[in-house]
Amino acid sequence: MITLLKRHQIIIASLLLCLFSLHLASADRKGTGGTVLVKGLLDLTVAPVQSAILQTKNSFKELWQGYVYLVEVNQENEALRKDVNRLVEENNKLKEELWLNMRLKELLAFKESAPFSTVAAGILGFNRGAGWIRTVKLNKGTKDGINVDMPLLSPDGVVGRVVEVSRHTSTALLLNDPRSNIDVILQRTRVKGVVEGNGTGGLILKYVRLLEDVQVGARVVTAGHSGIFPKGLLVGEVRAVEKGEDNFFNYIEVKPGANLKKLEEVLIVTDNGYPVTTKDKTLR
Amino acid sequence: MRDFLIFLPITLFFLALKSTLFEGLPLPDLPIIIVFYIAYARPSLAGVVLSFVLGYIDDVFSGAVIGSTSLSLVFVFALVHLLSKKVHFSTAGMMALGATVMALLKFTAAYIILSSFNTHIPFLAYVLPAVLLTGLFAPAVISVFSWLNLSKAPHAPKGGIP
Repeated sequence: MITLLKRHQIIIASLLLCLFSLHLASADRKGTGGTVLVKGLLDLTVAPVQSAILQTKNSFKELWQGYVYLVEVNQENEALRKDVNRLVEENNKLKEELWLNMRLKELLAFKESAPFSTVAAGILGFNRGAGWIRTVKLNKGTKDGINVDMPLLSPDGVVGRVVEVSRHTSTALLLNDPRSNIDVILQRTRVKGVVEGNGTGGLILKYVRLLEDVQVGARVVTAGHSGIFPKGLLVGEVRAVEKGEDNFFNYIEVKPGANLKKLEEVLIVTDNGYPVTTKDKTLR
Repeated sequence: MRDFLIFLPITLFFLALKSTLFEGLPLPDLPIIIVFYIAYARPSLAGVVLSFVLGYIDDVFSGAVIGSTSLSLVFVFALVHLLSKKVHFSTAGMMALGATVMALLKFTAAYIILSSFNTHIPFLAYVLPAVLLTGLFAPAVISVFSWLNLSKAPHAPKGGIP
């Protein structure tokens, strides 16, 4: 009997434990099962492990979410940076358009008020060769009715004159080029003189005698004697008056009325009432 | 006693992981693999008691009907022990098949017990993934147990454990 029991001890134990399990299940169903001790043991053993695992899990979760969040923030930041760049570019373009619009409005107003025919031209480029040359390339040529010696104007005053023309473009000599000579008069005192470029971007008023009344700030306008510039156009204003080295003439510095460094559009006077000289199309 | 010292902490750790890190994920039933392994490779009275204890802890831990899992695991232990005299669970395929069948039995038993409590639970939706995963992981887990040389069967079954 004992041998039989020993031989089948596993099966017998299994059966007994199965029955015991059924009893436990039955007791649990009736609510009389006593699991307090086991639960207490589990609380002591498993609960800390669960807690540690949960803490680790939460730490990883936070780290992961933080990382993902940072990645998203980085991506969002990149997208926003691109948006900002695009908007800045757009804003610049709009500002540019606005300024162009304002300049053109001003030019148009000047064109409409001017008692002579003009053609608006854009400046393609500035030429400052050899340090003292001051010419500009214009986007209008003979096909637009442009000819040499046609004056260039801006709303702020005289700019220069056309010296070379091709079919589609032309070259203009700026007021402050040393080769430029314009007959002028002082608006208030009617003193005559000639404005030339001084070689450094400024203007000098020549041939005004020492005894003439010249005040700093006096407005200098075209005299209209050369047959190129219409009479009465603003050239600039007197900035400084000194005694000339020859003790006969004043040395007068004139500040150009037009901002010759920031020109972008000009008006070319195509019909000023004078006969246009078309002797040649070379730079004079 | 050695089995208790090894498999009890493993089971507790597994249950802790199952209830925290892998909560809601389908996992293989590690207790059934342990019971399957012990019943096949190291059948003993201690193994029966360990099966009961593992099931009991599982019940207490998971809040199931106390005794339902312990009944299943003890039943599985006895069945595997009886089958091991006829069937060799020596290959990975046989291990997987055996573990799958035992897992199915365990869940079926638990299902029957729960159903007797007028509890309606979806059988296939829950049981199938767990059963298949148990069968899938069983060979690897048993190999790990064998590699750790946890089993020093006093009377190793024919074919032994790889």
